[in-house]
Amino acid sequence: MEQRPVIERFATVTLVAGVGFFGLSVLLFAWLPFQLTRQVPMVTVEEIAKQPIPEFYDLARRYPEQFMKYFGEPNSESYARALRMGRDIYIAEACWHCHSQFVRPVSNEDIRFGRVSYAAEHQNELQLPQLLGTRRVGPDLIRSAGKHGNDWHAAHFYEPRWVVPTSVMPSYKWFFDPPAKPGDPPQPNARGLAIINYVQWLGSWAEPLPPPILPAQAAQP
Amino acid sequence: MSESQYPQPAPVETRLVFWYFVAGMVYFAIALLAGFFFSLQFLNHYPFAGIEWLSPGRVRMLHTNAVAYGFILNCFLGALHWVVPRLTRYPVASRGLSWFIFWAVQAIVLATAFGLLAGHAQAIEWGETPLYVDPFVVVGLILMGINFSVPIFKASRKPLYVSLWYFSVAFVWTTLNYVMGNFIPQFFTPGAAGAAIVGLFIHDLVGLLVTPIGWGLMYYFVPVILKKPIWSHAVSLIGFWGLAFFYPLQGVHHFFWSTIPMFAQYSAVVSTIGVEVVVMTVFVNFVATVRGRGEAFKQLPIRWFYTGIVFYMITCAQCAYQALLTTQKIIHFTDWVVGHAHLVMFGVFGFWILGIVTELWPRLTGRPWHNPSLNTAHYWLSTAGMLIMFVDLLAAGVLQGYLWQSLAPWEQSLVASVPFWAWRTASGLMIIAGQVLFFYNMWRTAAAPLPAAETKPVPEPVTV
Amino acid sequence: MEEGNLRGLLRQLTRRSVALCIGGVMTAIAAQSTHAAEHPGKRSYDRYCAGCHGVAGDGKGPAAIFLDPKPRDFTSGKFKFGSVPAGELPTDQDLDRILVHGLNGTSMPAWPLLPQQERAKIIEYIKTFSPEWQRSAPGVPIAVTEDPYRGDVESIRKAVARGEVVYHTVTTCWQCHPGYVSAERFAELYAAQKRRPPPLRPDFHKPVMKPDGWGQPLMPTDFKTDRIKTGIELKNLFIVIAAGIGGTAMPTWKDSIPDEDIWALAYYVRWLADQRNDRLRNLPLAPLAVAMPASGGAR
Repeated sequence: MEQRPVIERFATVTLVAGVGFFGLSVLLFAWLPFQLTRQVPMVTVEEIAKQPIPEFYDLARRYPEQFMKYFGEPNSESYARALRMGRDIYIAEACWHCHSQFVRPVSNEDIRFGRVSYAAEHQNELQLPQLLGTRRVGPDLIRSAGKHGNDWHAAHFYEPRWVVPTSVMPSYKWFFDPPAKPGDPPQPNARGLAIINYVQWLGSWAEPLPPPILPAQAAQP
Repeated sequence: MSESQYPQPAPVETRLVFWYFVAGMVYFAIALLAGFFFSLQFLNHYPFAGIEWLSPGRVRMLHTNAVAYGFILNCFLGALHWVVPRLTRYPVASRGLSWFIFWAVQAIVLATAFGLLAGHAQAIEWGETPLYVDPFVVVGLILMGINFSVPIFKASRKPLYVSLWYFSVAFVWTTLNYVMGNFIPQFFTPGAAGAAIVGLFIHDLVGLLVTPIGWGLMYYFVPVILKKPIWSHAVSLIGFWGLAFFYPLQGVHHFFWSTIPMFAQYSAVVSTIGVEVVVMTVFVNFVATVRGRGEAFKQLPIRWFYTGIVFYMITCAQCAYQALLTTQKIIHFTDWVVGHAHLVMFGVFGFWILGIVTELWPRLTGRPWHNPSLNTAHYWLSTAGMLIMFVDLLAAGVLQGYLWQSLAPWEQSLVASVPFWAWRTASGLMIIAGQVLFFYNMWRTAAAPLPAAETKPVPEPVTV
Repeated sequence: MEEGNLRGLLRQLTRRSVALCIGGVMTAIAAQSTHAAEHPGKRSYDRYCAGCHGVAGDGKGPAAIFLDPKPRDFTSGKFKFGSVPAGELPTDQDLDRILVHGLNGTSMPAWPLLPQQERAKIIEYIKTFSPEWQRSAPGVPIAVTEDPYRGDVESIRKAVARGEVVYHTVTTCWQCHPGYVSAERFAELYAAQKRRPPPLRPDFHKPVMKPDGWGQPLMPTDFKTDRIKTGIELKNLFIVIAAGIGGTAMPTWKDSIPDEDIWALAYYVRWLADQRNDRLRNLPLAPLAVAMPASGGAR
């Protein structure tokens, strides 16, 4: 029998290098961050949906027939449905390959996009799996709430170059139903309404709001 | 080169190797086309605009997945079926299982392609495979592991050759990694912790599947074609164990300056630099092996292998540099990273595969190359295209990073990038042109009539 | 032999592509110089504005069919928001303010990162679309008088209370904007002035669609739900109420009512807008109320 150094054996290679070193990396970079972020409560879509954003109601006002057809009344239930659907479209269309969802504390990003990201804002059901992103062809989206109107987003999804002539974003004409009568704009369908609502939701929780002029208890005139 | 220079071959399923290579090249062609069309979107000349199933975002995922699972995995499996029985002198576990795995891989790749185009992608980079395909992938990986581990295990009564360390551990790693990366962030860990795990997955898919199999194949093919042993066994050991230790520890470097705990980000910097040191040892080992054998570069496979090895050294040096938190401020999110990824996946592993196919295709078909100079053109077009694309995207990335930092309006970074994107498309066309020559040559070779019986069925190695 | 052919081919290809590159660069330089004659603001306008406002400045860019309210038609020479009495031409500062801050809740985004010189050129270019800019000078900005209610919670509460009275009984804003009191409270407010309350419209708590000066239907702002286009700073609210909004039913209130009442209205509208914001202040995922470390050091 030839001499077999321990580190050249099948069992050593598969168990120590294969299972052992991989387990070490999981311990350090999966389990430990998980333990650290576990203190931050995980927010479900239902909790988020308790207070729909104003842009959701604006969509219902702007596209009444379409909204009624696809989502019914604008309320917490339909809002939760729209958020989930919007997130799924964001994944299916690979939006996350060209847009990120975190503002870094460097490279002047807080001036460009807004408040630097914090762990708690990613700790929610719609970040399963996480959508932090690794490439920006277009800008970061985690602070996009309210930066544009719903009508701007509709035009932008239909044909990005109509609003941003230099854009290289693909057009998403399948987010729209054909107009009811010629001359009208195409109307967003369920997917169009959901993705607009999702983008308007991104960062709605961190919009800078000026403090109220009266404290809550002194509010009644 | 005669058969006797190889170890006594155990029964090799030559036809299986042949079909793996054919499948790999078909997906490679699809991946090239997908990449080319996607790059046209950046020039606002996408030919299929308005077709939902060919939306550029979906085609982008088709591009990367066809490269990883269609091209690289298929060709690697083919090469493994050639190499493992030769190195161990045992056949793989089961002939039937081998063919089953072959068809299973094709089914999984096609199901993935369908899922991506239909909009069922999963938001895990390099793991966009739809959730409903993932369990089959895991089963497939386990079967592959068993199939190749049986001969390796049988051979381990004697000291295992370095290639076999890499092969035996690659499937263990990848099975674990695939389960971790595709299921834990999907169901259990959102946000920062999820990003840490996805970072591990992204990195380990390249680092713990493609890299070990790639190096394992190099440790086999380079000495065999050069007809001399690898320079230093001790350095091989350092390379293997260094890679095994450091590689899994650096995934977080895909999300620097994010909300992932800082200890993880700092550790990722250290281990990324650590692996660079290890890679240098492997590089030195291979350079020392070929030292004094300059005429070997006339052999096209050696040229492919060593170009890939030099590119590998470049990407790893780049890794150590770009994984610094300071560098990340500028280059993260930019085309720099895209250039880096192309150099790794095509410039290194793609080149190695093309070298292996260049070497093995005549032996698999029993016919000499239809036209060897087409292969030379293939090499030069691929190398030039790759270098242009790499330098171009690097420059674009630096420009984009500084424009963003300078607070110029976003549109300006787009306008400034367009010339670079045009060059990227042009260099991609060069690469495609090279592969078209190669595919044509492969087809003509395979379709040629068999040489007369008295000539040796195994032709001379490719020289230029 | 084939190798030699290939080399020749490559050499020729290289020569041709180098020639092509040089030719391309020369053409580009030539094209640049022919552009020199155009207006310095045109390039930026075409890049950032033309999608909605149109290359000709007529508010009919390709995106316009989607937008509501419609993008401004610069050829009409009529503007909505400015510090000058409604209907007069706005000052450069007014236009610049809109470029920097955008118009909240509309499709006009903010352009805070556009350099000042570039904004100035765009503004100059916008002025070339209408002959109105040659015929008359911009109006004189309405002075922002001293805020008479500035002070403690008590005086702010007084301002809001007075604003409620002015809104519903003096300027009767509720004829277009929503009313924000119950019918009983409405009657009470009039009774306090010993006046008979006018009949309420049935949709008193909703805004009333009115056509604007460009023939487009326009929905007046509901301050409790909508974003306020020029922002909710008291000073800005004062300016909008005092100056009015050109081309719409929103009149110039300056000199129609005392400045003090304009301030009271500003406070009232702000108070209404605060109620909208209060609902959004503590959404799930909202940041904790602790100061974030400044990122200045790490840029």
